[in-house]
Amino acid sequence: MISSRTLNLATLGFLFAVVVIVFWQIGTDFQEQGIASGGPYDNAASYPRAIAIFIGVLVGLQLVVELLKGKPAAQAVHFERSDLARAGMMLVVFAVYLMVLTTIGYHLATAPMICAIMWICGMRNVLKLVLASVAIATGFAFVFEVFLNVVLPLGIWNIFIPW
Amino acid sequence: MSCCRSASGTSLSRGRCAVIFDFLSAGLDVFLSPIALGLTFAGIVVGLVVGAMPGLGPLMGIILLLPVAIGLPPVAAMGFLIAIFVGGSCGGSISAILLRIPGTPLAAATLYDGYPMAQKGRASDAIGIAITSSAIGGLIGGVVLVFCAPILASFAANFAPPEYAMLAIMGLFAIVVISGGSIIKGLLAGSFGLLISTVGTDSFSTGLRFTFGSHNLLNGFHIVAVVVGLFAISEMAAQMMKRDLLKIPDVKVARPGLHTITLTLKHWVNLIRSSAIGTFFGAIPGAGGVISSFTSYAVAKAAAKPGEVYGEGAEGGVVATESANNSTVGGTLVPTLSLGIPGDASSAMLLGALLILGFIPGPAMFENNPDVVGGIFMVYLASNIFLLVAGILATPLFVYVLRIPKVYLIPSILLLCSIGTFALQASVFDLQIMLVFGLIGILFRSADYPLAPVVIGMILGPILEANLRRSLLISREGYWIFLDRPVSAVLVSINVLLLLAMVYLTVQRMRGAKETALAKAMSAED
Repeated sequence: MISSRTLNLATLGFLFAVVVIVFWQIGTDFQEQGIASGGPYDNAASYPRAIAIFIGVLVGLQLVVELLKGKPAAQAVHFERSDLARAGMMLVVFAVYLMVLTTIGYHLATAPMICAIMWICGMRNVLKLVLASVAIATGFAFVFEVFLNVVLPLGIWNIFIPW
Repeated sequence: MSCCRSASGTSLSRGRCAVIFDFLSAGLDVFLSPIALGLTFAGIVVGLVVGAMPGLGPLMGIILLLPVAIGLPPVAAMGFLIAIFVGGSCGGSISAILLRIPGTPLAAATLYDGYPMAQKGRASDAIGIAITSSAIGGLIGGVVLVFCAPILASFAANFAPPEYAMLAIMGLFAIVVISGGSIIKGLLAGSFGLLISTVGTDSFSTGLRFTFGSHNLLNGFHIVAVVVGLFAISEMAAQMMKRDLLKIPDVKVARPGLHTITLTLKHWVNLIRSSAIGTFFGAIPGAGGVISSFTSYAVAKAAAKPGEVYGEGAEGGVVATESANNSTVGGTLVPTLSLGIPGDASSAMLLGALLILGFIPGPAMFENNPDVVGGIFMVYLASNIFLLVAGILATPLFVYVLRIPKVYLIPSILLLCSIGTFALQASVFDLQIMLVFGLIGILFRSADYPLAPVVIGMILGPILEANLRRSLLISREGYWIFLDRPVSAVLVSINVLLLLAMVYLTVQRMRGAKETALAKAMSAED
């Protein structure tokens, strides 16, 4: 169980970090490039600065709203640990897939990724897992490579299917 | 043309009709190609499928297939995407009627009478009425689009940078005010969208902003990578947290027949009225299909004949909601095409697609690319006709799709996201951006921040900044230029009113929330 206040504060923290990055960049990189001041043509900082100030004000207002709210326990997002774990594992698998995609190529990386996600979903029939993951990966490759002329990542071993 | 002659006979209206006819004839030439016709039909089928699947919907359909579309000829690409929008807006009714789960929020009001009809053994009739009403409502919205968009564009042809800057702000404010939820969170999401659109090379000074020395960021974030991450990845994560991943829904096959067209036409007053309501709400940025379908349902219920019992399987209820939510699509395309101001997140994606294809929606597009504008009119009208054909004939197929368990859908959608995003520029960096924005999307969703304003902010951001800076460049009195020009001054006034509405709504909602919390605490004590 995660309280909605925790989630709201985390989002506000993220947005505040964005505001900090904007001002840090304006104070350093923009200054070095000479685009942090001047008229409307030269001053590339005025617009992002104005939006960052606006976001900063809104973050402050939302913080006040959060503090004025009633008991945080009254509003909570209920998720079982196992439900959260499934989503988290899916994201980890997907992130790993994106990392190895260019190295080992689409055809070697995709079927194991699909297989892993289907396993995380709860499927335990090995035959179904293998057949479905290979079919989905090959089907998408066929559509994109044959009909849309997309060259999918070949990897360091240059693996491709000559359709 | 005959309508124009009989309507007024003035040279002005004859001129307008001639312009509309020119657009349609120019569009017909590019539309009547096998690829444009085929993809429009394919878009309807895809739209009905994604609309029928709970958790997807037209926006997700457009997002997932945008990378596919942008490699195609412009009218074929827009035909594909607009047809997904049209089909997706209708497809939600299939699962609402059969499963009591609206495939999209647009079909939520269809539950009231569609599901009771199914329970009485009239599922096929309910689906047939929903499809026919959607098609006819969409066509009525299309007529409004064809007549109003050129008029609005010709009015906007006199707009200069100050008007466009104020319009962009108005579009964002209207979406935040009307779309419901927390105003502050909506504004924060929209402002975040405006800010991420500044990443990359500044078009005025050619300085580099927030690139952190990465050459991948010189052109900023690709909108498709951002939107796929925000919506699709976060949605898949949300779906993974559910426990019905292996479940095969128990759905009975429905076969609507042609007689449902007659059933629908019996409610012609309701059909026209609901379509008019839908088109009107569609043209207001932020209002969208959900508001229009609930409003039409309420109006139809109020105007019901004594024998019609709404909520217990009245055909009129399905006619009202479905004609309204599909006519909204036509209405929402009016400001999108003529002003470049999207009415909702789906039309924002269509606007983004047009920008990627090299067209800048607004009066200039009507002036310079009449074939594209006319082609869009044609594909929109044709997609509603295709909806009727595909919907009536292929409903058993869409019902079968509802039986596919999520265990197969989730990895397939993730794969489509990654191949589609990679295909944009053959860039792994785009995939990484997609994942990062997926995490941001999860954070925003979990804290109840709306995602649509982020997309709209990202689309409107460059328009706002460029016109704001151009206004200041041509102004001799700084920001007073926004009040010196009459139309701009009116838009400033509307923006001020919207801002006041935001403050009022925020205070009201905070009071409401406090009173609810107090009442809960008191009842707990009792």
